[in-house]
Amino acid sequence: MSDPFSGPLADALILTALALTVLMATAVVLTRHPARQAVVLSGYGMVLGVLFLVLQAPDVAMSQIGVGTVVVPLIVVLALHATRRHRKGGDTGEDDRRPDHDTSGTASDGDPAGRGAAGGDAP
Amino acid sequence: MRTRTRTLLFAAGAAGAAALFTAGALDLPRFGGAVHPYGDRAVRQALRESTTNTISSVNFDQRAFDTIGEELILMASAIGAVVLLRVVGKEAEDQGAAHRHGPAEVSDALRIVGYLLLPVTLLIGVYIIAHGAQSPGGGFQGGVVLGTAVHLLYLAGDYPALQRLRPIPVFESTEALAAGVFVAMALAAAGAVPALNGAVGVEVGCALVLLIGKFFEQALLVREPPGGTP
Amino acid sequence: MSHLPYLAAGWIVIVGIYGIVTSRDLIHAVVCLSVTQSGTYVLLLAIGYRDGATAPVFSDRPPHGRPVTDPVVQAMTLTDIVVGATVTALLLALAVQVAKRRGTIDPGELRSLES
Repeated sequence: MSDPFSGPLADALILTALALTVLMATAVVLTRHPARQAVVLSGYGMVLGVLFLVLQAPDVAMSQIGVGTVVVPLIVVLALHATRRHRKGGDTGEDDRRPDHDTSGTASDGDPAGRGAAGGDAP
Repeated sequence: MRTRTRTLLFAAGAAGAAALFTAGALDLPRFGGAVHPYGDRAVRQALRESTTNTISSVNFDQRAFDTIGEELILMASAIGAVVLLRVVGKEAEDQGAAHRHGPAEVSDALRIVGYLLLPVTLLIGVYIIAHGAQSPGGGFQGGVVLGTAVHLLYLAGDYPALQRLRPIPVFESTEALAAGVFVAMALAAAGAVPALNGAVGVEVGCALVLLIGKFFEQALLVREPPGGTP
Repeated sequence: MSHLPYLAAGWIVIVGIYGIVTSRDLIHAVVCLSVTQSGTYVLLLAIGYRDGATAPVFSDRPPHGRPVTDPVVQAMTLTDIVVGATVTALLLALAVQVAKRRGTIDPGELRSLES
């Protein structure tokens, strides 16, 4: 127990980080609204960074936190804004464009567990 | 293909892939096992070259050729994105669209934070690149920090200053130059880890500045005159 | 615990592909693709982990003390993350082009390849 790098506590830390990562990945995919998805993606990038840190990879964690929490979500938001201009219906199309696609029929075919895992994240 | 057929097809494929992956993964060496032959050799080699950050040693010394490949992918995709966005931008400008100069109202707190963080963040980026051979960090991570730090000016609401700070042509040539320098150095002097770190840092930083800059231009392009925008 | 991290990585990949397949928005699909890619990071780093090991950096400690995690897979993951971000940017630029040319980014409405 005196060694902080191994033993049940280290295992528990890794398991917690892994569980968080899996939950957040599922949440990113199941967030159908792209603008909200960018925010969830940013959180997922941070959780991945923590997981990499726990797995003793500080270089990778640094890179992931820079790219995953800042660059990619920023570019996604900017691209979203750029495409909004071109869509039919103009600027107002964004709010009522929430896809009602995630119905029980399609989602429960592929991964029933995923819906259960991320059920709390649905807006 | 209808959504339902597509989902069914995916379910079948995913079930098969999951079964095969699980069978394969259960035969891998157990998580946390002690046998890492490549890792042990890489550590030994890095210590022989007295590069204390083994990961930088692997990237810029032992596998420098692979990193050339990754660099070229990075440059190619950055160029591709910039060219695609430039075409869209040109057409929109021909149709009379104009640039909106940043957010209309920025609170003073945000403005001050943006201006204060800019030099600190730039310094951290340079530090991460410069110390990449010794401590966690390196060209890739530091380049990301540098490339995004510049855009704190947008957060501060100073879009004209941001445009002055990043003249696109200069960054385009610098990126190409850094990529050329990296390839030449990796071929001629693989193992000069700090120098290669610097070249990669400059290239990644320029690529990100270009990409984010182009996306910003797209996002800020509006059809109406600046008064009537949301 | 012994093989759980590998299976978690597999789950992330499959859930990402599920998102791409059922996506109604190209930008959503690109984000799901980046989630799929992140599954490979988790797999690589899980393979490189070693019990009781620390990070492979020797600047502040003697070389032959505690074992270190595998630096080779970490180096691969590191470059992969940064390169993957620029590829994501390229795909998003393509999505912007599609929106400009076709007026929609719902893949269900993009029936054929005519321009």
